[in-house]
Amino acid sequence: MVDLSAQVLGLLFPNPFILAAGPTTANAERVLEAFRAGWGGAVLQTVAAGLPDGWPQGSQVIRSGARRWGIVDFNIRSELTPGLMGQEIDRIRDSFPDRPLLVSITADDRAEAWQEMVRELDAHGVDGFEVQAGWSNLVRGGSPAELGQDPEALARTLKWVKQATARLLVVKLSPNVADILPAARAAVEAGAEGFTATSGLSALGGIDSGTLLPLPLQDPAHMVGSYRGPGLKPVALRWTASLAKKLGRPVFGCGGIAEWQDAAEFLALGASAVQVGAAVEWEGVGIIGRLTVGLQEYLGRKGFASPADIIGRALPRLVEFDDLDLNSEIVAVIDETRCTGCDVCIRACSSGAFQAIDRVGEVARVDRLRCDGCGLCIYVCPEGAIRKMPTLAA
Amino acid sequence: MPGLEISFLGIEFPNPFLLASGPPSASGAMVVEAFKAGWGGAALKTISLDPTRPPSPRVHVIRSGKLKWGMLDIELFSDMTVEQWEGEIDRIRDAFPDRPIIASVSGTNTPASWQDLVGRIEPHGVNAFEMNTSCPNFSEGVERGSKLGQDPEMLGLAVSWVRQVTRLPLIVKLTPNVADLRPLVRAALEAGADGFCATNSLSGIGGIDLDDFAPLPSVDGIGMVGGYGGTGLRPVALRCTADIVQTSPAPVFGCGGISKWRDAVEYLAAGASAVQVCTAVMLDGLQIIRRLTRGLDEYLQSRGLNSVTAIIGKGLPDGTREGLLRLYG
Repeated sequence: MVDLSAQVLGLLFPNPFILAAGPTTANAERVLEAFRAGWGGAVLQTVAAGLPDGWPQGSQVIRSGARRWGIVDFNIRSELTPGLMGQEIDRIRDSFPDRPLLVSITADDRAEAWQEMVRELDAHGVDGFEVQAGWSNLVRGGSPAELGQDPEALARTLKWVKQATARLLVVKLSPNVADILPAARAAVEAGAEGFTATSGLSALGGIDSGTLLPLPLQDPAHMVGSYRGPGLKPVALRWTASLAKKLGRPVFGCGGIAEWQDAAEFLALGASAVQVGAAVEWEGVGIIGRLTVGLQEYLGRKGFASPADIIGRALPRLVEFDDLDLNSEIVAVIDETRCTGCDVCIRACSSGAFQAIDRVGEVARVDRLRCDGCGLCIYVCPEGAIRKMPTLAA
Repeated sequence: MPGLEISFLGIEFPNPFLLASGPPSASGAMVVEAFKAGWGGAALKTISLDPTRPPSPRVHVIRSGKLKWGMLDIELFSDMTVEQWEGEIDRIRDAFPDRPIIASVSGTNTPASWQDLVGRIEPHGVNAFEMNTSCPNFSEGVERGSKLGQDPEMLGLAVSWVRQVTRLPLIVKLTPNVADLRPLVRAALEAGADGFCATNSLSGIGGIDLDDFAPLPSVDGIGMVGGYGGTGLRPVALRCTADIVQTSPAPVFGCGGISKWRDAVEYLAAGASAVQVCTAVMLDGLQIIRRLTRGLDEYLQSRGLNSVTAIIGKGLPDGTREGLLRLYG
């Protein structure tokens, strides 16, 4: 029998799926609805102190046709003061005294702003704080920068927070760096106990083809927002692995998780649990059902007793280029009984690979002498009729 | 198609859609086919003095349902030698004497590794060089170029080496895997770069095989951090494009996740002068050039514009836009 619960940083999550800080954790009502639906925990929406009022706010959902694959946010922070957020925390605690609950925080570069906010929140029953170190639209020293890009400023800030609270301290790191480890190491030294990987990528959400102005604010002075959702996942996976491999502190994986498979990937790369944002905004809190059932069935099928059993399993297989076996020879093989002759693979191979697939009668066929085993055709075949096999077997 | 022509650093492109350096420009024959189909130019797959055999498989497509929104590759530079490439470029030139060809090159931390390469390729009639400073797939260290695009000082040095041996337009393809592109842009310009390409791929992990826990693409059960390109890269590369043109007056190729004419309009409005396409060609074939050029042409006509330059930088603050327009006289 699979037990989905996850013990992270001394907190017992009934399952490893946590609501990420954002619009879905704006208030008690939303969080209570999510907890009733079965979410394992929540990080309350970012409470901000000392930031200028009246910053333009907005979100751009990025899609191809009907499919959404990203959101670019501008200043999407809580509208609540620390005091009001404290009341929301009390309301959540009335119904769910034990469900792990963190609150995301940010402020300008002043100790008082951070400490005043933290003390006020600390008076309520929150388990810990998540410092938002990856906002691409904070102003520091006159130009946009992120705490997570400045290890020294991050360490200074965390020390301020530590002085004001004895509760758990987690840092949500920025992906907008050449290397995430300097900021992470500085955070550990300053007292951070765990990480969330990651905040959004610094990005431009698009251009309106009518006005030719940047979306969503239609203002050239405000082009750059924070890009999260599915498109962030490959980068967040990479940084999760990097943190897990080098630091050995608990990591919440965060970025584009919509299915149980996404969560399993983060766990396999070293995350202890995951945070979900965009998928809940788009589909509602009810997705927790398919996430927990899917993960439970997968773990059961593979003979694992709990999510902890797969944490970090992929890390030993994550190597450097020089470790790869460049003599591994494979070729594509088309199952002719499933090929419908649509020629999609022929176009892909001809334009982006080795011109190794031709039409033979009603079906496509691979020229094994030309095929280099790159793998492209396997993904473009709409019938799933192509697989790879070692040349010896072929 | 009238109205789609664009001049970039004095090079005349019949339309603003180029093949990006990558698998679709991996041989002379492929580039010739692309030019026949109507592509406005091509950046050749990166040529180096020391070609390495690529792993197999080396491509993983990332999707949600049927939407393929990303590609993760663990490709390296071209596995053809410089000698081979000299012949390939001659083949393209025989068939298309005037269509712009950009040679993408990559060297190491020695001047000779860049200069010998450039010296051998230039006589074959390429129009420009594009320095690949950002291939993310090498092991750590400047030795193989992996950190070049992340270190302004090293980048400036490498650009100056290439500048010493060629008068052709010199483009630097930047990596998005940095906190701030601006110091890199300034260093490259000071060292003699003429233009930029934004951007190469993001470093990422494409996924995990949940049966054996191998990173994808899995080479015999192991894998690595690779280059993440395609649709999902677009918001980042668009931002980088805007960052660069707001830092310098040099022209920029937009590159990252362009599969529709509308995507190209976004890059142009964000300040790019032309765009480069790779992943969409791999997934859908060379013939997408027809719908790209037709769509852009219809868009310009519907807005009563007679040139693609009319939309360049339209989404940017006025000052930046005026600077950009000076590029087109």
